[in-house]
Amino acid sequence: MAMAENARREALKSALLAVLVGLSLVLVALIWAEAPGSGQPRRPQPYVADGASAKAEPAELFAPWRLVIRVEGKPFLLSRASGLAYRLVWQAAVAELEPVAMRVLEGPVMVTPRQASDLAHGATGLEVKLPGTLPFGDWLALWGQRERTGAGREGFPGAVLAEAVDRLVMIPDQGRLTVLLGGKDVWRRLTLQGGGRLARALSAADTGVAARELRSGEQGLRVLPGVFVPASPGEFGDLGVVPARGEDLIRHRLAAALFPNAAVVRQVEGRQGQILLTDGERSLLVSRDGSLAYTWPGTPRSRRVRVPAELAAAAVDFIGSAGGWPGGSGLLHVEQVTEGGTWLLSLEFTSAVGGLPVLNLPQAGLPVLNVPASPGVAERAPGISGALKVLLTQAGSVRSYGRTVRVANGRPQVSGSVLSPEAALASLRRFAAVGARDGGLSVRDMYLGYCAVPSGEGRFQLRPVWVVELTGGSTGLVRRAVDATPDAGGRVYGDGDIQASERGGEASGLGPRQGDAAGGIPGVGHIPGL
Amino acid sequence: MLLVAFLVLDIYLGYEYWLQHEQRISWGRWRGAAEPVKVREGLAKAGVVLLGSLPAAPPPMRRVWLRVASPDPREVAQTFFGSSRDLQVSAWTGTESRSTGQTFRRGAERLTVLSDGLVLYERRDVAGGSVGQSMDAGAAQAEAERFLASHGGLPGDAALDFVLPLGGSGRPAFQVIYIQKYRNWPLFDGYIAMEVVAGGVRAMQRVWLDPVGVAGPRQPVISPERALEKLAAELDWGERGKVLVERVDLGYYGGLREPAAQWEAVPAWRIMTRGGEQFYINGYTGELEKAG
Repeated sequence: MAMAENARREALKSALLAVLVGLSLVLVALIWAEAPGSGQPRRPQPYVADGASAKAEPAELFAPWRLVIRVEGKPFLLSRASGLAYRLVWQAAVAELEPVAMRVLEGPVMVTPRQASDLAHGATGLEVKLPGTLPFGDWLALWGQRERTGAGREGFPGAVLAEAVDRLVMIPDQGRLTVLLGGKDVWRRLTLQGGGRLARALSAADTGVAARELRSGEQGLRVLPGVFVPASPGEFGDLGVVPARGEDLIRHRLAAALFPNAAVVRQVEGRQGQILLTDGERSLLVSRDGSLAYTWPGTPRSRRVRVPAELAAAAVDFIGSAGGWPGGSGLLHVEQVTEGGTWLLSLEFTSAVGGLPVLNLPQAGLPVLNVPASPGVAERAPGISGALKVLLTQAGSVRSYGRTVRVANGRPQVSGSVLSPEAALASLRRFAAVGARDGGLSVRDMYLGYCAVPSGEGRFQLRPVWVVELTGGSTGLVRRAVDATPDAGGRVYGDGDIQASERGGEASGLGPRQGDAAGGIPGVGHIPGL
Repeated sequence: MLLVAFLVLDIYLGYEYWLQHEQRISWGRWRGAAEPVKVREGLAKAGVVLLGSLPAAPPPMRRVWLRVASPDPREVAQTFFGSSRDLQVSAWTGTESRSTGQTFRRGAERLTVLSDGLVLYERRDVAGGSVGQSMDAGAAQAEAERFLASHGGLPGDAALDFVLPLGGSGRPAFQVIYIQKYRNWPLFDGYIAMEVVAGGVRAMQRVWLDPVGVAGPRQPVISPERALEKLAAELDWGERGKVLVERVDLGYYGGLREPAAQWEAVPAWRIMTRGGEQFYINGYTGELEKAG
């Protein structure tokens, strides 16, 4: 009896002890949770949107969208859509520029644009129009030679690596490789030892689209040399409208990715359903259509100045952890934007459908042609843009980040043949007069892409367009690049709006794609459109 | 013995938790009582002179959800004027705002009620007084109270914030500000601001809020000394000479420039200088949210 009583007492004491221990743990947790320090800045938590990837291979991101190859003088176009042939040629080209294996036999020698053009014509070689101007050494680093940044780059002279370049021509010929580096009105020629791998890849790459060089003509717009388009409409293959949707961005996870302390972030609900998050310094605007705009005008801790290639690598990591990389992403444009006595690096990437870049319009149904602002004038108006835009300071901090990703979610609805480049340019002709006021516009490149057009209730259509890049940073989109309707071909997107703008003298919906460093992402910094 | 030890431990922990909540031990005190003295010395070196005492270190605070109360414009006008008799109504046509609204006129008085909750009043025939005429802050406040009593009354959650002389013309004029309060904390986004001259109230602007409730966890709030220190560092007052800090208040601040459907306000320190400049320091992060 006494033993049973003792056992009951011990059981009661054990239960009481367990309760007291449990209570102490709970109280410690409560005190800890509310104690100062628990609210101190934490490391941002990476967030990858549904359908995107945290990692992207820089060598692929920074590879050109298109290559022009010449095989015994006959031009072809290779794009990302060309698949294996494109990759083989580009990888061979980059491999030829490997500093370890390469030896400069002659140069650099300055040549005129005409001389450069003459060298390329009739030869077997590769021409690349790069998506912006950067020092050649930075391009090399972006194409996968990062480990040789700095010392040990014995292959190229320092002056060549520092040369600002936006075009590259490579002509292999019997164990020698002529490399032409094009900058602003200046070409430099080097002769290297090697070229065999590129020559083999070029001779094997006969699956590209037969191309021809576009000439200035009746369409009324001047075309700069080196603009190649498919030789005939039949070369385009099938193109059609692709249904798409905006990204489903999870706000609180974005906040955790972009704010050092998401616990102190406050929220503003706009009247059109947009949400603004801010900690008083950084701000993040998430729109109903699945786009975001982030700004941080603050001063970074690090004062170390980095080169563009390092900043680009930082941008790759940043995007990977703040939304992730959409499929098929590639660099659309890079630019060093001056601000005060320094510069910022602007990088614009975009996603791809079928190897073609997807572009966004600044406003539904309005845009057309971006007329450049006067040099040095900060212009906040948004232009035609890619899916991802990052502006970095030289210290590597992200000043602004814009993300407007449209995700294809259906099969293309093929509707007809592709409009000829001449017809597309003719439809832009009326805007030549607009450009003439700013000293004239010339076509510096022209290619096919997709344009995301809202189709109601959060849905979009990716419509094939001719993208016409003009001098001065302007971009024109010619919609209905594919259209079966005989009387509808070649109309300029939103052309009624432009006529209205011309009459009214306003620049509504027009603006440069470049040079908006001061503004970064329009509408952020205050609370836009609420 | 073990039972007693845990019992004592739990009592101690419970007391600490109660202290944290009920006595509201602030971050500043958690970090040690020596900090305020040190910060004050630093502020003096930076040229910041405190004219009054600083408020006590604050408790951990939550955010507050706010929205603008947007009642029917006609009801607002009727309450304001006492009746709808002789009221002329017209649509408000602003150019820079997306808000819509209505303007009500009676005699020289004009009241505009916007859909985003902003209420504007103007009376053009109010005599401005003569140059050199005397009028003190107390008289201006009394005039403002008389005006409010005859124009719909003062909201129950309002409190006088400050009365500030307006310089410039030489004629006496004051700005009288009432602020909205929520759970005894000022809501810096909700206010009634009046311009009072010798002849009465010449203009009024009102934004009154509808506090929806608290949001988020309790977060530590920086001490007022720390807020002043952050502001001094931000503005480099040492370069500007001495700055006289008249008041330092803790309240909630959303900082909207344009109206939203609803928004969260965070605890913020408002620092007012003798010249009437106002600075808002985020109570969580110490960031300067608004200056001037």
